[in-house]
Amino acid sequence: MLTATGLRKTFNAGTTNARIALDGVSLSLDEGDFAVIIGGNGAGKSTFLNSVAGEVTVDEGTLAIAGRDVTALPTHRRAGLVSRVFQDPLAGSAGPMTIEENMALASRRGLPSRLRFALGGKRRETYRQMLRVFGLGLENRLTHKVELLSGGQRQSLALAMAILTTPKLLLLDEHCAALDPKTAETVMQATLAAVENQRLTALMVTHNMQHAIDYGNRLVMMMDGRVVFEARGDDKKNLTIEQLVERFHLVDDKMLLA
Amino acid sequence: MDILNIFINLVPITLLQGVIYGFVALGIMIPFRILSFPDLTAEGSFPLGGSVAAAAIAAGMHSVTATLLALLAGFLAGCATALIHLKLRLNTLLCGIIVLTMLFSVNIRIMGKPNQPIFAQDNLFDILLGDYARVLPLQIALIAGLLAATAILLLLFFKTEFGTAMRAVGANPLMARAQGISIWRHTILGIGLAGSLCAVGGALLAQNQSFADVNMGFGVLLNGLAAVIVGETLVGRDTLPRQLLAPAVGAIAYYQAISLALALGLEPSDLKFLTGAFVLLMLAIPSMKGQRQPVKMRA
Ligand SMILES: Nc1ncnc2c1ncn2[C@@H]1O[C@H](COP(=O)(O)OP(=O)(O)O)[C@@H](O)[C@H]1O
Ligand SMILES: [Mg+2]
Repeated sequence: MLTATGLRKTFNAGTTNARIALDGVSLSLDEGDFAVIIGGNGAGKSTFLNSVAGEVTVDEGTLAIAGRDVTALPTHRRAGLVSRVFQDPLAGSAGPMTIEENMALASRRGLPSRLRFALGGKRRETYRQMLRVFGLGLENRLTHKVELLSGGQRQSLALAMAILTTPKLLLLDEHCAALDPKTAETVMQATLAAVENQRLTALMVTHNMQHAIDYGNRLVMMMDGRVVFEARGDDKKNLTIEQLVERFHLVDDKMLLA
Repeated sequence: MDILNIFINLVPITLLQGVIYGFVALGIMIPFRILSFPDLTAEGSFPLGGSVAAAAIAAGMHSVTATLLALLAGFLAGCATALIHLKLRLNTLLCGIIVLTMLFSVNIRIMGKPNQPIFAQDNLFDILLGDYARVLPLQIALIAGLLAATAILLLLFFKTEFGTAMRAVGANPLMARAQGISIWRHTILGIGLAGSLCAVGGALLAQNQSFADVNMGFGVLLNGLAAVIVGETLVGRDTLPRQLLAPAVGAIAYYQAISLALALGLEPSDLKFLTGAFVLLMLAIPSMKGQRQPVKMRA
């Protein structure tokens, strides 16, 4: 479903501020794979997700989603294949627009916008149902502006928007990190439910080691722009936090020695 | 008493001005409020509309066609500003200044001279009002009707998928892209739309006063911005209908305020300073209160 080969990205190349963010990342996801990415700050996790989404154009390497080579496509032309939830709850929706208008945009993700009214009668019920899952009362506030919502409500909306039409690939970049623990848990459970029910292929960045072990069928550890450890299936299930932390240090030490 | 008399006598003519400039205010509101694209092109697309309409009418074109031609010209001017911004990533205000300055030359080329009288030809008012073309209240009603129809069309447009996408581009370009919306297409068309509204304002004014002048745009941006701010103070801007009503109401109120200032004995040449001071004040109040900036730019 996703094939990334040899992705390289250097920010501010050729200047004294040059930063290698991706140093040859290859990763391949099968349909239905749910990969959790972990790694320290600056490991390149966000850059990797951004390059998959199209926000970052890679210097080298190729990207294919659902069999389509998207390497040269800008973000908006990949939107039919990929949807995402950002870490910043404000990033995923348009504040001055209403909940239902945001949902309407999401319902046409990747499709050309037409000169037809964005809001139609029977869609509302679909939106309501999707938002009811979060138990935040969003379903009764369809005509409210999104900027009036709390961070947790807004992130729930962002998730609802991302899965409203089933994407080939769902990208989640620490999407619960900015929320209070209780809301984070709600949004995480809703995420897991959606991945399961809609059989989504997903890439999720998290800094929560327990989540990394508990959720998904693949685990990817990144460091300094590279994938340094991978586990899947039972190997992944049997991992412990201690082992993961050890891995981190192992790689760390190797880096130091190198 | 004298002041009041002067003011009341001025009401019809300033009402007409108000509804004509309502188009410009709409064309200024869209970039500033909906697209988060602070834009000065109005200062050039307004006289462009006047010049194109006057030149076309003088050359014998039907006034309706001439007005539509002006609309198209304004659209292209807006597109130019948007394209320069998107291509070269220059500040939107600078892009507008470049385009409006260049338009000065273009406008003189179009007319072949700095101004173009069209007293002898039939204009939109002659065509639509016939024998009553010179009746001020009817002129006001005609333009007010056109303005209302335009605002309603815009309201409907901004509720379509395309218009909603355009609003999303102004509100949150990152999110818009992620939904598959092309920032380029919607910005270019949106700023183009704004340009056409300004140009139509210019075309209407030129036909109403029976001449176009290359300098007719001077200060129009600030007037329009002041009108938008006045309108938003009067009717608010928290819903789409209000946001679209505000420029029209604001333009009418603004020109009444101007007329009052004149009745009080101020010189017309003082008004630019006053308008500037007013806009400055309105922009300063929220920032002094520590509220979010009233003019938003895209990240
Ligand atoms: N837009 C950018 N410009 C310059 N450097 C960047 C940019 N985005 C990321 N980087 C750099 O690339 C590296 C990887 O960053 P990032 O992908 O955000 O890491 P992570 O998400 O794993 O914390 C870091 O060194 C970061 O400073
Ligand atoms: Mg990150």
